[in-house]
Amino acid sequence: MPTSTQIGADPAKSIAIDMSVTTMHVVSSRVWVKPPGGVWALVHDGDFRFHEPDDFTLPAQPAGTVLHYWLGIGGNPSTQFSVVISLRQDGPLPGGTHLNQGMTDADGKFFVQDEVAL
Amino acid sequence: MSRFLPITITLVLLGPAPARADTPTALQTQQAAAQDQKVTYVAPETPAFTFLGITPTTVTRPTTPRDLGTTLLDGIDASGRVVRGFALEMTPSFLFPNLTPRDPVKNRVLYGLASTGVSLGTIQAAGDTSATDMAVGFRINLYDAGDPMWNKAFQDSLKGILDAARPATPDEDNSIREKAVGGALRDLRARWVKTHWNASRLAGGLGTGMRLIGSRFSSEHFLGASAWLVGSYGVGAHGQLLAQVQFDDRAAIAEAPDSTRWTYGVRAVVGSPTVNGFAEVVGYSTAKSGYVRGSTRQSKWTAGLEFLLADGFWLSTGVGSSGASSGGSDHAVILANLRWVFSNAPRYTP
Repeated sequence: MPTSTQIGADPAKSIAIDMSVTTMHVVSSRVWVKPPGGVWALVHDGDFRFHEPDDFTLPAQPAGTVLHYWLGIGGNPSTQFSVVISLRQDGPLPGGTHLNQGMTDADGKFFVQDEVAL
Repeated sequence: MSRFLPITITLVLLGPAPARADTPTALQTQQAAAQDQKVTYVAPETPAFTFLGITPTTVTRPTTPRDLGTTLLDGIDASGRVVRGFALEMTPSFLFPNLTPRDPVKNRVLYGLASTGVSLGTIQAAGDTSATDMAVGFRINLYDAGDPMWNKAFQDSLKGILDAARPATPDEDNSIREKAVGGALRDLRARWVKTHWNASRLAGGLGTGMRLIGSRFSSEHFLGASAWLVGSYGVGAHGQLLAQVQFDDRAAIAEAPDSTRWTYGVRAVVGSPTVNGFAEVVGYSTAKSGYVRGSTRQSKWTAGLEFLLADGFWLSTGVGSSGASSGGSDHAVILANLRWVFSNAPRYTP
């Protein structure tokens, strides 16, 4: 499983999440959150592509909540991709910008999973 | 103009020329590579390597600014000399992650960056064991109706395949779904190629280099430049016109004279992704200056048929003033006055 990064979000405020891709790829996403002692809850299914980002707002979450995201990236085979996941509360959160970069395989796909401790 | 010879069975293996007793210099290798340029109707993916006449076995492909910095530092040794055998290829869009696609003006920049490739390579300059030849290259797709990622319907289909692979929970083993994506993408791409085999395209490339005396940037000598412009135009569902112009300029250095060369090709194809007829004219014009002066011009024509025997295996036959070039490695047999060529590449560029 991916290692969580701590961003220190304010538990009293909602979190704006922006997803975008700066290369010629299509990305399917799924996002869950798990409060301390709780279970995973699906909070967002989305997709985005070059020129068309995906934004959504996550309601205020208790301290210690973990956010998990899955990305399915598709494009031409063996092409470099660059996907940005940005979490904001009255501006960018420290450590709240995740840059996912790499290269698609011979079929043109790549999968990413990562976690953020809010 | 000579036709193909009527030899009953002649096997011609088109491979590298026999090794010479003396080792050619790097520049001679580059010039020979320029002379042997085939008209492939495809701009080179890595013009720097093409300019140097090399095919690196290991190519570094940085995907983050940090990777790029580290890679470039690795290209210089502890004494400040350029490392030979260095090969780098990248798409520069990753250098601008904060250019999000919200700004339409920046989008235009991103489109350009997304379809641009940068390459960088080094090779030892023979004849001067302390010198290194270095080249940098750029490739850009100006227009490509055959690239499915520029097509909204294809993107929508791709999205559907990826959506179906979403895991139910973060803890779930999602390997089966993700593996199924590969097969679905191959099928999707095969359908695309079937209907876009003759799509219109326009692409260009540029490669240029210098000789670093003592392998240091403090003393360099310009080696020349190569440029490519290739295009194709789809005619209905069954036709395609292709054209390529290539310019090579090599500066006078050591024993080699200054030379320029124009190479061109025009090809018409009618058929399908598996069977087609073709007609082609290719030619070149060279000029040298300095102590070896002179110019040369030559053109050839070919027409014939080709068939896809198996995936990546083509059989073609035809007539002409000489064997036509093709992008793949060829094996040719002349039977009943016809030249039959086995190749790993068709004469169109899907």
